[in-house]
Amino acid sequence: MNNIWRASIALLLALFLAPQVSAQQPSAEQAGVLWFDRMATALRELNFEATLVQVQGDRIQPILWLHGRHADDLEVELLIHLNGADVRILRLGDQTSYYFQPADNSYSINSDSTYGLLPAAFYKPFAQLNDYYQVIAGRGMRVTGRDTQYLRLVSRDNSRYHYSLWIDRETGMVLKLQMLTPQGQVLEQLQLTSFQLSEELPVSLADLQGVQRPPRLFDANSAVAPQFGFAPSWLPIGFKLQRQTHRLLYATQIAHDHFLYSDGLTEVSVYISRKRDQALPELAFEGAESFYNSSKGEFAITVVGKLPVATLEQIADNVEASGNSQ
Amino acid sequence: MSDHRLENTSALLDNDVADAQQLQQQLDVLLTDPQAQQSWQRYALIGHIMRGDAQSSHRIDISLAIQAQLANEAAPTQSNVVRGQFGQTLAKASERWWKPLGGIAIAASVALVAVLSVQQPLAPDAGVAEASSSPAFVTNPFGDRNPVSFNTVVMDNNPSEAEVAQQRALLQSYMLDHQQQLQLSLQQQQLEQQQEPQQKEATINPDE
Repeated sequence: MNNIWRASIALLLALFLAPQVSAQQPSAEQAGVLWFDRMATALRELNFEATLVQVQGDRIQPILWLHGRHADDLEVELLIHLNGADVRILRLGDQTSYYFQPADNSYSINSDSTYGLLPAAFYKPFAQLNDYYQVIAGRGMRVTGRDTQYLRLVSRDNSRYHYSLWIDRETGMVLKLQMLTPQGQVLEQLQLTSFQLSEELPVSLADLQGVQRPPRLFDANSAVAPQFGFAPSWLPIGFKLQRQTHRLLYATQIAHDHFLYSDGLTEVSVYISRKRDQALPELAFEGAESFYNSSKGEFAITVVGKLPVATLEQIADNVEASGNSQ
Repeated sequence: MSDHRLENTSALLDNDVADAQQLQQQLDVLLTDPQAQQSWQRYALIGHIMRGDAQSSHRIDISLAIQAQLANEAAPTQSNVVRGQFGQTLAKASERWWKPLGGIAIAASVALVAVLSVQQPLAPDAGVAEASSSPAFVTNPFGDRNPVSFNTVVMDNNPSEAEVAQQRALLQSYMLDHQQQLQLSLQQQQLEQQQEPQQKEATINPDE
């Protein structure tokens, strides 16, 4: 009798404790999501002054990165390129301005994530990427003098670039980032070289509210629909059409049908133009921004995006007549 | 300060003043005379140390000295304030950076557009060209001058510099346009996001 009691108590205890044990040790993927979301929050909430280097191939760009929140919750972010042309990105809340000197072609856009350093998706919770990507926590190392948590962000179908992230254990700040091909070749790296956290908004950000903002960027031609009667018929799973237009590319004044797709993290553009207008040979280029150019009949198909060139090729090969040519 | 007043302060500290009226008077002096207060502080400290119960937190009071020094100094101007590095960068920047911008700008992109070398793929007839040009080299075994010969076939597989430049410009234009479209798409998403709550409010309000 006594034994039965003991057994049943042990069973009950086991039943109660089991979920707690598993909650204490989440899987690498659950932990990954938690850390990713912590990073997204940190990028919005922390007051910091940092310097970093951005490496793409043989290019190195040192960047000053300041971020903070005013007492009234207004978010301020400032990025300054320290080498070469004077490029500055200033974001106040959902207004982002891009300043270029000496070429005075600055502009503003309405966006609450600072495009140009990190993918916009890094400022948002992981849930929106969950269908096509997974993020796995691994063993961290020391980065910028701090203890980090390592995260690996990979696409579920392995057709996209991967990210390696090193997240500060104390604050959730991203301290190092690598973008890699599925084969593991590093295409782009960010490495913070100094990171100073503060309680208050950094002083240099305090008086930027009155700063002159350049003109807003508008897209005037968005109303014209594609005209060449071709459209991509295949993209990696998860890519959704964001925009489709027919217009002249500004720099060359060549008429193009343009399709922009996004899976939430990665974007890809498909351009279709007349071959007699566009004199590019068939070529492929894999890099931080890959490029693929081929042709179909009298049309040139050009695909641009942060994707492996094999994926771009597949997209280009699957551009087919859509039947609404004019 | 006269020895007399020092003496008075000392006596006061030691509670050595017999006369009540004198005590009152000396206390008044102490409360109004900063020098007497300093003496009081020093004597009290000396007393504490001698009795061995001085606390390590007792510090020499330099606040008055600093106050006086500050009063003598000129008010800081923009030029002689030493700023942190970040502030300095911005101060410089504000002179040439935040100036009004002329004309509607066409967006170049923030994204780094690498200077790409256009790699010309081998033309399918490359082999033929090589074969037909090799006799030319045979007729000219020494020196590097091109022979003037009827069978010299210069098959230029490589595009001219102008062509390369044009192709490079084309490539760049695609890269830039892609970046610009990304930003416009971000903006569009943002505007849609901002409109959604407003629409919800608009639909909720009529019900109320």
